[in-house]
Amino acid sequence: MTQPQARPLQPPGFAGLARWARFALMSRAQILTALLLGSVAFLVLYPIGTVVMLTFLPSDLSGVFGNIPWYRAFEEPGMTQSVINTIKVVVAVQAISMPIAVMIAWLLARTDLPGSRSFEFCFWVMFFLPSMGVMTGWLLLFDPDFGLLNEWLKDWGLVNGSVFNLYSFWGIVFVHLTTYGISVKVMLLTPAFRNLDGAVEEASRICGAGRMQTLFRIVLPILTPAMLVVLLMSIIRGLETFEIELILGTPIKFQVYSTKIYLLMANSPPEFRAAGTLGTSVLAMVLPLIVLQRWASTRRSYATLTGRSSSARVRLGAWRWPVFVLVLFSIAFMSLLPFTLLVAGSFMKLFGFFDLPQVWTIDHWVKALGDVTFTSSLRNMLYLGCGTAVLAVGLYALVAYCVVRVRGRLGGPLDMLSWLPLTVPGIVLGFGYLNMAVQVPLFAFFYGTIGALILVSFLAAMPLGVQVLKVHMLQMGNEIEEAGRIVGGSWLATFRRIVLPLSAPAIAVVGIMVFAGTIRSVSSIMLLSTGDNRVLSVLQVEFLSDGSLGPAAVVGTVIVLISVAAAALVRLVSLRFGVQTR
Amino acid sequence: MADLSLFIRRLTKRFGRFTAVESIDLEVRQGEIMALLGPSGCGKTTTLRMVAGLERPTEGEIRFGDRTFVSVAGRIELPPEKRHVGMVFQSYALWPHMTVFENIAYPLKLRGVKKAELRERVARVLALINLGALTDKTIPQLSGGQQQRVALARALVYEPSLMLFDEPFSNLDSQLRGQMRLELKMLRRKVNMTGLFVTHDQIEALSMADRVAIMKDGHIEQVGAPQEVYKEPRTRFVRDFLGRVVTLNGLVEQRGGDIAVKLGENGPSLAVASALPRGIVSGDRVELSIRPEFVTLLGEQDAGRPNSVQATVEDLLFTGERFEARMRVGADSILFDLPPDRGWREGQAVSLCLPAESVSLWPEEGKRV
Repeated sequence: MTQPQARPLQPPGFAGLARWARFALMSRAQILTALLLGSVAFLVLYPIGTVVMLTFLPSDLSGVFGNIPWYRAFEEPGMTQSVINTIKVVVAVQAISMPIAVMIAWLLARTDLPGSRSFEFCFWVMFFLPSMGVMTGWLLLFDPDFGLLNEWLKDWGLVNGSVFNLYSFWGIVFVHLTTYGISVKVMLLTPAFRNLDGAVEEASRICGAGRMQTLFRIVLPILTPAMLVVLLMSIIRGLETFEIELILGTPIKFQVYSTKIYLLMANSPPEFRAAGTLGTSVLAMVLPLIVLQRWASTRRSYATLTGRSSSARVRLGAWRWPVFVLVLFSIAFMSLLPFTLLVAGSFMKLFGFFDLPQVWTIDHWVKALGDVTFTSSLRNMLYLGCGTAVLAVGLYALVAYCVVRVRGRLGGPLDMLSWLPLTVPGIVLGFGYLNMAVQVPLFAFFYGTIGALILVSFLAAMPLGVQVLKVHMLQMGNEIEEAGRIVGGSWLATFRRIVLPLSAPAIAVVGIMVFAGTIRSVSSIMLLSTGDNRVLSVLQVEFLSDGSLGPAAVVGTVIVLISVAAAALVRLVSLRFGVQTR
Repeated sequence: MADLSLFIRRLTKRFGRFTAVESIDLEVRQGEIMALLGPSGCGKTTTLRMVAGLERPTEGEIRFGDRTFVSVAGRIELPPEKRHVGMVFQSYALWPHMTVFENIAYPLKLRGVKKAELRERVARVLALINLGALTDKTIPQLSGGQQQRVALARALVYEPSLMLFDEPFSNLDSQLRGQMRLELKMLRRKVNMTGLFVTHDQIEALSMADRVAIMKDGHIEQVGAPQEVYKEPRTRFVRDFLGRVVTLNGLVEQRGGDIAVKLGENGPSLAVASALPRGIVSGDRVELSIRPEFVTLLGEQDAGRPNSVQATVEDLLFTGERFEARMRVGADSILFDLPPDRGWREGQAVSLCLPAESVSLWPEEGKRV
């Protein structure tokens, strides 16, 4: 019988070094965190870096990066105006939507309004409604030339000219309000209102305050931090918008910074430096908002101080049914009406013209389904949506896991980085990647591929996706995993066989959310889009831009149907498995 | 001055098909503190919330002095802010966006109290509950006990004539709970208050209240002074809820005026001083019960004393201040505490004395009379 030989010291090869490094410095989880940190940092910071660097390029490189030197950029017509317009739109949208959303959230969460849970679900679905589809629907009603409402008013002899014009500042604000403007706030504020301990309201009543006094002196002040977070979040999101302004603003020469960047890049030669300067200025504008938002959301939230929820809701009394009808009506107005109009429009011979001998036709659908541009865009869209979702769930889960478990010097920065894309408006991110492809020959092949679209969409969806998974993993707690290690599983085996299966519902929810968010977004992929990798949403922009409203309605209907189905699916999965999606 | 008593008449609350409170009658006299005691879900908190105006009764009425708080038949309902009652919530319900001062001043501001008087009254109530140093602190900076006091101060500051307490001490640890009980008891000497007090903790109810109403399944089982309900419970539920009991089963033996209970065929016969429960006659099976603190442990030399039984120790749990023992007495199993100063072992036989004047008789468990 031979004794097991003592193993000789390993030569200092790679394996030995790796072992030494692991022992001396970090665990496997930490190595993984470091890798993720490096990759995400590179993927986000490098393209943005190239945008900022544009402003430092010597000015005699004219022609390659455009004719306008960066220091002259703001002398260009419309540059300053585009920034002012951006601010005007954001302020108008927030000023109108915030009070409405707060009122609705209060009604849904703290009063005995009938059907509040179903209403909440409706706002959730509305958040997923693609804005271009909604906008196309509204055109049928509010177009200056053929809008139904304008025609009716004229027919009834009430007015001479057109009253409503969607191609206007207030038209743009209106579309913002009826898409995510109000819905996202209701979606985020309702749970905050609901989590508030009802006893603080009751205590105020007992002390002698009436219903409204309690709302304004107790409930709203307590929820101010939560409302501030939601407001800042909405402002940052508002700064991202692109397609509404591109379609409705361009014909009337109303430009916001994102459409201005797009137009500068559509010049020949493309004005890289001017666009870069504009992008950099906007980044500088967003940065303080992000800092403020982070600060507001990390402060201790009053609303979650106590977990006990109220047992009695505010009685609306005689107002109960009138308010119910009002809320029902506004939901129908913001979702069902534009959708019906959109579908109707897709079946019209000439979009908006109801006085033709033959109004209805299925031509647009037949043509679209037989058209190779449509089918290839549809295919590309599914590739993009699925590709992004698959890439996203795998990597977001790893990132969220590392942020929650590793923390410290590596996890903290990774957490910050996963938030960073939120600060970068989609158009700027896309511009960064375009710029990178131009500046760095290594990345040139990437331009015009679906892969490029998947990558930017992956980054754009990261803040939300990682957040949902992070909350889930925090809830799961450490011990479940530690038990996996104790019974003899390796770190990787524990992640694969315990953490992942337990997270499956949350991961599914994130995957579908990413899919739905990706297929309808335009701003981040627009500049990276070519004839080869065109997706449906980009095709819709093209149709809308050249006035092909019938085909645009067809495309819009398809995207809306897929988005709403995805939204319903997310809700179903998260309710079934108790995943928190906010 | 008008009589400021609280009258509750035929008060009922249904949530859908579930009846939380069923037609209860209760009176809290002026200057008295009444505890509503019962397990969770017995309807005690619902009753309190109806008095406060936070729930609307399905039937019945509540009056305080000459004011009607609510009367379903009379279609009268005062909203909570018009009832002028004080309430201390289980979660304290302090407003986190206000300081201690602002929390306490809020009810006074609502009543239009002038600034100078307001400052003075807040200072006075803060001194009353020993919180003067914390005036400008925010609520999250306070400990649980301090929050409890602020909640009390906020309820006291506008001198309501009726105070309501909803499990006010249940979020405190046991040491702090004892301290707060004492403080509230002392406070009653300084402030004249009529109060309704909801708790599931029988010690809290017995020690704090002038009278206790024990509730079960939406009904009031018994109302009385703490010592009265403890010593003379009218139902088995009240008896078991208020404290531990030792119970043994046996047959009634009546000889002339003397009543005894024979435990088992060869077991001892125990004399009983109390009367027979209604419907029970000689020869019936009964349950004999006694609070363990009235049972005495006999030494070996005392064996054979009247009213004593032999018990065998089956399990022992040492808890520091005592041994908790499960013992067998004939066919019955009882729980009884043994002093920690002697070495006990499982299987050991001991003698217990059950004095005739401390024993009460009950119909057999499960048998309706």
